[in-house]
Amino acid sequence: MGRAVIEGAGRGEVAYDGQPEPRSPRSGTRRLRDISHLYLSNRPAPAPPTAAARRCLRIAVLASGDALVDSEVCANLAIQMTRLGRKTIVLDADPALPNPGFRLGLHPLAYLNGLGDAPGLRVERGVLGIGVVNGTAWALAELDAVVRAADAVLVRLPMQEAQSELQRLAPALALPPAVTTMERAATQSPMFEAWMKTARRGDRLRPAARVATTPELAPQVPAVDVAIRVFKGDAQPAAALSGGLDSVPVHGLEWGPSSATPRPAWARVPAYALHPQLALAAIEPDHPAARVFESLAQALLAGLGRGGAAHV
Amino acid sequence: MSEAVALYLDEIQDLECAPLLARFVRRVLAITPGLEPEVGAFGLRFRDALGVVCEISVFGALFLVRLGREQAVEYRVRSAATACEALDALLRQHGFEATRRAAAV
Repeated sequence: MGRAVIEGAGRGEVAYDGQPEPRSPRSGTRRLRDISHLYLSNRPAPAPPTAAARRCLRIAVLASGDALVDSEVCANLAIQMTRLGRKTIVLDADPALPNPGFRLGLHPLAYLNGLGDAPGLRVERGVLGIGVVNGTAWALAELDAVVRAADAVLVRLPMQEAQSELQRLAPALALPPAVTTMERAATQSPMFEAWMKTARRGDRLRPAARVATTPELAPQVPAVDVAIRVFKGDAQPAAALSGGLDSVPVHGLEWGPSSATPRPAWARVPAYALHPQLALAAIEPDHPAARVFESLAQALLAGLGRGGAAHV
Repeated sequence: MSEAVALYLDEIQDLECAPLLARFVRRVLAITPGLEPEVGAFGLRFRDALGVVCEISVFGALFLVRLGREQAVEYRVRSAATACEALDALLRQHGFEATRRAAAV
């Protein structure tokens, strides 16, 4: 017949001579896709789809007054999270020493940050490749990029002013807004947009719902999913034990031997002899206390995104 | 930082090693539970409940850090790298003693 079909334009739609194919729907009436509000590709070309937001578990570890114990807990949880297949970052916002970097086998120059606050954020790699961020002389935007690449973030917060420190870090720790299929459709279709507006009317903040599509509708989500307050069983009860972080469930973790009058705790880690530098889970993974840390890591991951009640 | 330590660091601020010493002392004071500083003719000392754990003597361009109950380990600190090593040794000793305390329990 001497007709050629332009590749990619739809089979048999347009011939080389520019005449529409007789059997094409374009001949005669308008196609359904041209008149339907439901057909999304009729809208202007949407922005290229962004990568789905990674779900990241963010855990705050509140200082107990003994930096060695806090760091040990932080390092062991990080090791067990990594063993469970999570890319883990430890963010040390507490200047107290020893710090998690020390327990994760970093070189002194690395975990002491060269004994100064060198400008710029540096992610040091400890055992099992766990990322450690020390110091505060960096921009939050730098931290944001690090957090976005991680599956689990452990933040060690100072005993004093934990809340204000968490608020300072919140912009970097906040999860990127989750975009559902319906929300994506709403950006492309006026009908779905109207439907979403109706659906959001009277929407209340739910702990597990972290959906934010527009700034005015963005709920005030907590900067971390859960906080762990470490306390030593034989130490005097801390006055601020029950004074947790706003809207974040705080779990009490008892470390070491229990006192005569045990306090309620989410979990208890049995006493063990600390290695002078490395965390227990790095050198004795089958130790009972290391198994406890493994169970805690599993429990925290299992509760991912479901909020949870405080146990203090 | 305690007033006595701040005063001591202020007195030696003309020495070459003063900036590094100030950073080193700030890190030692960040060890938690805290070490008690003591200022005297010997220089600076830090002690815990069981006794002296660290003694610092200043000599112009460098300072000496002696560690341990007997001050048996000595670091001659001229650079940040050596200062980090000295602090690392102090933290290891701190961890070792915590281990002994835990074992005693």
